[in-house]
Amino acid sequence: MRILKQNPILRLVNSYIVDSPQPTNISYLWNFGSLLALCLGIQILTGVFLAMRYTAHVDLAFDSIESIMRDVSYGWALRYTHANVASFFFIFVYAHIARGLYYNSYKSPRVAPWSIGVIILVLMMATAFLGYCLVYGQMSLWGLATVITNLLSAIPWIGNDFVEFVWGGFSVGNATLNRFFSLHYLLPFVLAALAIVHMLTLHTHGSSNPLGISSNVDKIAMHPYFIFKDLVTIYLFLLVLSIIVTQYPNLMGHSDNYIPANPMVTPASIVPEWYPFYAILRSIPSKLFGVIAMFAALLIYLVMPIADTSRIRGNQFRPLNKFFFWVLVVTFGILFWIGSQHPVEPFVTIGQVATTLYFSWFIIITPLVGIIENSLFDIALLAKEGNK
Amino acid sequence: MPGPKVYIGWWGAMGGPKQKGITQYSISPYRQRALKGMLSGYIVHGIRRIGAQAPYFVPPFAVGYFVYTWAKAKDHYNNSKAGHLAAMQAGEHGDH
Repeated sequence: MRILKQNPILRLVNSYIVDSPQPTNISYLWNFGSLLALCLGIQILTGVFLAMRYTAHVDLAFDSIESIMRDVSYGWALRYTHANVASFFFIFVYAHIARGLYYNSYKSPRVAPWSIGVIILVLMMATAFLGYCLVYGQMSLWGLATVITNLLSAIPWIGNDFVEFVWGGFSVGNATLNRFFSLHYLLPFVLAALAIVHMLTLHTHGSSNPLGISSNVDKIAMHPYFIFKDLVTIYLFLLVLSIIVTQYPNLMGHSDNYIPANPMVTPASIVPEWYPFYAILRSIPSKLFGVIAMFAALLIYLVMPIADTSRIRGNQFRPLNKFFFWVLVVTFGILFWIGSQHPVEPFVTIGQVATTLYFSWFIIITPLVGIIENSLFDIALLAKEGNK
Repeated sequence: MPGPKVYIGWWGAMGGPKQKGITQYSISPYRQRALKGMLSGYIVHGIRRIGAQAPYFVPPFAVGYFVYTWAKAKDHYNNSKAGHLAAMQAGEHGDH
């Protein structure tokens, strides 16, 4: 017998990525998992090397990054790769979740990988936030470090004391930057561990498939079929990434972050990139409820296994739910855009309507559409039986 | 390896319907054209497949785009001289 199937550790590798039985009909939308694993790998690798020359000190952080960019051989490539892969991380995560929502991947028996995925999402956003702060440009200091940590002050009774505890002082300062660096180095490894648990829980029942029926009818091995299919999108990603890193490295960034952080000057507008949940925060006048809504907007994905009342898995045969899936995508896009606008009319009202639509999608529209579709199927079946 | 009450099966015990009468066909490796019709096939069938989904995703995106353009035009007007005058006459932003 081959060592791959004998050795206790290699046997695991074999059962996960070599001989693992996969549904034949999973489409390219099932490729985002491997892309995300690659992103995490790239981020940890480039991050380790960046940390060798980064200095977590308010007076030196910005300059140490400029030094990486200018003085270190190919330092610019390391830094731009780290910054742009962070953006791609978000793109792929949103696509990965959208795939899960479209094909109802969260439905029993796959509640565990979905729930762990939501925790990974929250942790991944926290990690990205900490990393953005480390640059210590204007957007780091104001957009993220100051605005986001100040959200904690909304906690009743202990809020203000708690924010000072997080800052390690009376404002964002050297202590804050140091602890953010420490956590930004730690959390990706927690993320990697959670990603392995994500895989463990996934492999209990295997991947679903676009038809939403049992995947056991027709299976082929992970290797070579899906290893090579994953490689198609991996090479495509590496191609796009190398073009962006070498030609348009600041495409997805904000120019304000090239101004060194200055506690005396507030930037004209705060634009937290990749966080549509910021628009939800701003849509609610009460600070406390705004903060609760922002976190609820992420954690609400946990209710999907309960909220989805449909007896059918996936949108392939559910026209009504398919339509409402795209409504959610557009709502998400609008929240993305509103978050980057000044809080004036008509943007405030649009943000509030989009926030309402976002939450009602999970707790009203999805259960209702499921019940309507179940009933329509029942009526159609009864009519068919009546004709016999 | 998966145990009982588990959705996925392992090779030889998938839990699916029993397979029988498997026939395998293949073209001679000297005749294979791996990418035959890839592009022309996609141009026709890809457009057909995406077109079939259009009724589901075009209306939401159309509404979203309308809201986006309307709000941008409205914001532009609000920040223009005419917009400021109109706001002043309506009694809003008295300090302008």
